[in-house]
Amino acid sequence: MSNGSLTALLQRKQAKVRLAGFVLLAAMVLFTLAAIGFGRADISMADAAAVIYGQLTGSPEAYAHINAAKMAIIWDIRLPRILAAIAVGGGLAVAGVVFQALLMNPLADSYTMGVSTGAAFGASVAIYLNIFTQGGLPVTLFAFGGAVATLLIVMSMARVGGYVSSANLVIAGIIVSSILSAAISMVKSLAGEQVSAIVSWLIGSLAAKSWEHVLYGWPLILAACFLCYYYAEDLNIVSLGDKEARSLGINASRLRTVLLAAGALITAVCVAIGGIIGFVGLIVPHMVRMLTGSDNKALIPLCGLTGGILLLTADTFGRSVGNIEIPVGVLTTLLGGPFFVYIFRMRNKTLG
Amino acid sequence: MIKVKNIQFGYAAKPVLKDITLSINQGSFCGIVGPNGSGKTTLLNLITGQLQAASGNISIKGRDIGSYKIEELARHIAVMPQNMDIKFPYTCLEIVGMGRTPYKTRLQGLTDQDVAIIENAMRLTDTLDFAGRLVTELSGGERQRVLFAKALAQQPEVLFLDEAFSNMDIYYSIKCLNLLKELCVQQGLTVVSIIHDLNLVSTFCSEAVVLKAGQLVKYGQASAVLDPELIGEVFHIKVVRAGETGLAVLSNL
Repeated sequence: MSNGSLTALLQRKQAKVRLAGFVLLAAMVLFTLAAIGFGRADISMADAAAVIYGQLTGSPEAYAHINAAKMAIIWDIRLPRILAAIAVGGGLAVAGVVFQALLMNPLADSYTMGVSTGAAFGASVAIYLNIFTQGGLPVTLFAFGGAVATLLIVMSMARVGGYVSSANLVIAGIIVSSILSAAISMVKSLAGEQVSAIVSWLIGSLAAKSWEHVLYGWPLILAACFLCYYYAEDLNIVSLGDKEARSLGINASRLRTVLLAAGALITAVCVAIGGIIGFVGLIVPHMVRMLTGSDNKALIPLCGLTGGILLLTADTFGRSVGNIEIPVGVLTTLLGGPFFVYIFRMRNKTLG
Repeated sequence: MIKVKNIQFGYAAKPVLKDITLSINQGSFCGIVGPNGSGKTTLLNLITGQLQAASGNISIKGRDIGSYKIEELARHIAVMPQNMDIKFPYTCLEIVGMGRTPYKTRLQGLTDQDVAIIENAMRLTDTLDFAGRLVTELSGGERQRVLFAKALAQQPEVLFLDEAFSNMDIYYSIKCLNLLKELCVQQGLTVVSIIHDLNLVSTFCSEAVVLKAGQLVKYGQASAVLDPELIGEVFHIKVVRAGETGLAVLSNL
């Protein structure tokens, strides 16, 4: 190789990542507008764009020609749901990338650590109590509390002599997760005939998401994702092992604590908004890694975009394809599971 | 450069290192030899700050190892382990580029100077051709060369190696050892390396440390330390002098 070839290689990689980012961003805008048009009420992309433009710039004359009912469907029903799908999909994908690198395990995601099971347990308890006390306990807050409590328990179990190792985290996550699963089953059986309220929450759905969900979900998820992006290069190094990290001047134990908290926050918000939506955090990082490589600095933003588009597409498909809405959590697991098996086999073949 | 004074270390009441004292000067190429389980890697882990000694002092450049911040120490020393399990398919350029981490602030890309340093490290180790390839697709020896390039890109004053060339073929292990020797002599790099091949120690190292059962058997000039009688006794083998500095191991124990 001649002089300057490394610079060329670096520039090629950067150009590729920029192009991918641009294409994904354009696709996201396009898909958002298109998704508004899908559903029972017939709405054109132009109407959708006009309403969004008018609302954002505070100029109602832009959508004066659209009647109030249509306007409400676009702005109050479909758009918040679409934005919630993007936030949850992107968040789950980024959390997946972060957990994989931190746990040095390409098959990890936010579910490995038991955080989502904790959130589900918190939600089940709230729903159960609401059934019998007619109280209005906030389910999302309980989900969030469950996720954070689970993370703290798993971390304290995995900590040996002030040091959190990745192997311990996986084991502790599995143990806590199975205990919580049993606890959820117990709450379900206690709920008796009212069990469907809990079950339908657990399935994972983005139906009836409002601006309230978007307004607390986006800032929290975006802030946590940016924190992960800030530490992307440290994450690359920690994914090679703690000793290696130390040799390059990075405190792996501290980084793990900070980024696990960020990943758990993302997961908690996602589960609080949409319930259990599986496989997004596993499939998206694998797909993007095959296309643009393993550098977390590129992987985190690209996975955020891809995850958002993927969940938006799945949710739009689920709500518009048949007479009955298919919950997006069912769809991602039903399609994502087999697809992951395919990726997994491909990967093993190329490695073998 | 490195001073080790009366260090003790043990796992769960079982002593691994007993009262080790030695001092390594700048520019020396120090080989650590000893039978399996004699405490070589533990000694290296203590000097590099990966482990903490139960008692005793370790200092690098006159400062106690514990007084360095992690990111500060990484600008003085680099460590190359024997085996590294890389789970994610990074390109070799990305791996070598990680060597520049101690000199960078976050979110800042590689500067032209960084790229020049990386390129030089990759040229010296014959890994430039691998730059765009995935590190997970290389053979064990090729991967060790890439990791060696990463350690060089870190521009340490002291480089620690734990059997770091063990998977390289003889051509490359000699080439890399020659390169290290040159860097020691010409640029004052200090190298501390665990090496099993006694002939390589006698050929390339200026000093040698012999450990046995956690105790320092001998430390000094390599030619003096690698005495056939001493080595034969430590390893329970029969060794004779071969040539001026070499050792020949007789296969009948």
